[in-house]
Amino acid sequence: MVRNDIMDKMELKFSPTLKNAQMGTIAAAKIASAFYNLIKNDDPDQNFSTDVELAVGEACTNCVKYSENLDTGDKTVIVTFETDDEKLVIQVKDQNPEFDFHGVSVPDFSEVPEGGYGIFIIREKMDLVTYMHTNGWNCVTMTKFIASPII
Amino acid sequence: MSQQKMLWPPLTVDQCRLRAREKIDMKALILLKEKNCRWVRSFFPSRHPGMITLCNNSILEFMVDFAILSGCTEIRMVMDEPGMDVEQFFKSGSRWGARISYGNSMDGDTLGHILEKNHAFCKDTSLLILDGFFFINYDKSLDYSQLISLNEPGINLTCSTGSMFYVEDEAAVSSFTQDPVDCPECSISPLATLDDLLQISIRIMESEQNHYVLPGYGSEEGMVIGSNVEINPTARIIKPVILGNNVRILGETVVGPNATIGNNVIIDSGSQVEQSIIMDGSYVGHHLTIKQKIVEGQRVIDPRYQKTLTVEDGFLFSKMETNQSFSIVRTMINLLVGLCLAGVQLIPYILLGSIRKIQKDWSVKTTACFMDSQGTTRTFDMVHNNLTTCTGKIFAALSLDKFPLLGSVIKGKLRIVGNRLLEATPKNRKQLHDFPEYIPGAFFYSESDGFAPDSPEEEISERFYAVNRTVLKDAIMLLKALIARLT
Amino acid sequence: MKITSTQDNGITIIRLSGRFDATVADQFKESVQQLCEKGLSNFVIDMSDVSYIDSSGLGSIITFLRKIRLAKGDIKVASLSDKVRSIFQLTRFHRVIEIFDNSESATLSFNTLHGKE
Repeated sequence: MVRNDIMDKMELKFSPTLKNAQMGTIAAAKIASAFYNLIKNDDPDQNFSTDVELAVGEACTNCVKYSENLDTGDKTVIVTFETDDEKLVIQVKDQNPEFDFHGVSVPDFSEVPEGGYGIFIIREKMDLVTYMHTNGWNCVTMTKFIASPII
Repeated sequence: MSQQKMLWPPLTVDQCRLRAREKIDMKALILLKEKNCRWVRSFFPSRHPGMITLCNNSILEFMVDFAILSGCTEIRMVMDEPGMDVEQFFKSGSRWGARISYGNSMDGDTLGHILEKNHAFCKDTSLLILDGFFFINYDKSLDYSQLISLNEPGINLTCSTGSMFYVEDEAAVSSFTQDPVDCPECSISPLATLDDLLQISIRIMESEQNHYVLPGYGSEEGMVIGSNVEINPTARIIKPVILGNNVRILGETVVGPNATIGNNVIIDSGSQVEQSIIMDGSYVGHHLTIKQKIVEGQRVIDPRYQKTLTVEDGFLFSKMETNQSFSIVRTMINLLVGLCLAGVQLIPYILLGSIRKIQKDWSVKTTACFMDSQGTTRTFDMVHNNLTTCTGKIFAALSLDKFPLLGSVIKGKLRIVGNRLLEATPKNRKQLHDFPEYIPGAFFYSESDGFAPDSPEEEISERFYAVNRTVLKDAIMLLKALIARLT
Repeated sequence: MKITSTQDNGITIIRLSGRFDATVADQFKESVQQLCEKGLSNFVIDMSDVSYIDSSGLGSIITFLRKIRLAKGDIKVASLSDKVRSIFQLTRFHRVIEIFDNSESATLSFNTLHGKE
């Protein structure tokens, strides 16, 4: 098995507006689609890029939504994309206050809430999701694997 | 497809012309309401009831096959509790040569309401409606397209868990009052209990394997085998048997008669599986007898009494995980743990090692060892440690005999935890031939459990953890090994 | 996102076109607010041209639905793409709102008397 220690990386930086978040989301979908196509060498899997689009969309929207509470400081959202031959790793970083990511529970669907679906959608659509808060930055890392054969 | 037989008087010339002119299109509407199949979820909570397999084909796939056999070019699946596994499997239907689409209904919707919600699909076409949760008994060599569309009264079948009927257009549904009609070429069997599932499965295996398109190769009467199947020469297969893909039947086992083994299954040595279904991804341990049961992972289900037994001991039954997601995490952990251990052990190794060298109490030998079951080898510095002396015991307690292997762990050439490293000898090669999951590590699974080398318990432990490998389990095994050595 | 509305036999059909995300959620809320103020209470949302919807878009439909049902009206949705339908299913919204494969039959369904089983 060839070990690929170096992952190819690219970065998007933008100020936290809804328009920028939308552009970032569309870019993520296009990158996911291109990445899938490169690895699989056939028609893009609609599910792969759709799933990435939804997850990144929710993450970026959250960055903007919670940045509106801050009125000081230089606010930036950074979305990085790293790939190797089996997965796409996306990090969404913002400078909002730390929050209890792991404490966010699954929405109570019977109540049909109007919000609170964001993190649930990210967890459902991506294979691995982690959260860290370091040096004033929230960082949500999402990984999606290209499907591989069973065993 | 085998030659299709005519079942009834041939068409007249006028009928042929009419058929050619009208170009009769037919679509199929498959309605899976939760009320008809909710019982399945209590036994198989992780999948949609329509994806439950019978002879390694899902119930929905049998329905799709029949719909296409009947001449349907488009199929819509409507569910009130949709399943992503259904859509991920069937996708757009290109694999079956038909267009498959999906719709939603709500609990309590009538057929009329469902037709309304799917009006764009149902308009201007004749419909084959499959409403319920049942198994369609048919024969793929027969021509159902004529039976359904041109002959009175067409298809009109019913059972306790659903019905299947044909209408010329959606408007005809509301006025559809015909009584069900027996049809010798086709019938539907209810799926109300797991025993129904098992009995239908046995019936198909015994006498109807040729009636359906089953996944696998049926070169021999009574046998359907998937790809990448390994059967030990000492195993006995008693027909009829159906084996899925990636199946391992180990030595001294007896499989069949009337056994369906799903995909990615291991039947370990000495076990017997008869009149049973082993679902995908299951591990069946040593010397077990399974008769009239359905096994899925750690759960053994008795269909007659509708009872489920969850087996705690993973050596008996377990679910095999697909671990491809964690290779980067595993690589990182290997590197970090390797570095930490090497850092901690460096000074004791140098000090104690020097003392022991003077005492001539140990040696380091470069040994070629197997890396996998295919016989790939790599050389490692293996420590031969005299455990009777005091320094020997301290050496082992601090796991210093593993120190020379840590270099390979850090370089990524060896895992920190895995199966016991086996010297590259013909005897070990033969042993590995039957052990495709073998991946060696610096610390061995069996030493974590404290089993003596070459004991039967050691073999079970090694195989079990190889099959059920996860990053978390590896971490726990490493801690256990370190503690076991210290105490 | 483009939002247009038409009337058909007392039912208001709202046609959405484009991405239904956080950038347009407020626009949607304002449009439906104006329609509600006219006293309209039965709606069909035609989503055949909606290329993407996220939780913000879904949340605005839910808010709209709650309001309309309190006023004894109803909303039905029509012509969902697979992408949009999957998010409805993921959030279990399919249990709460009726989904049709075309807006004409969604519109007609307000006037038909199909009972539940």
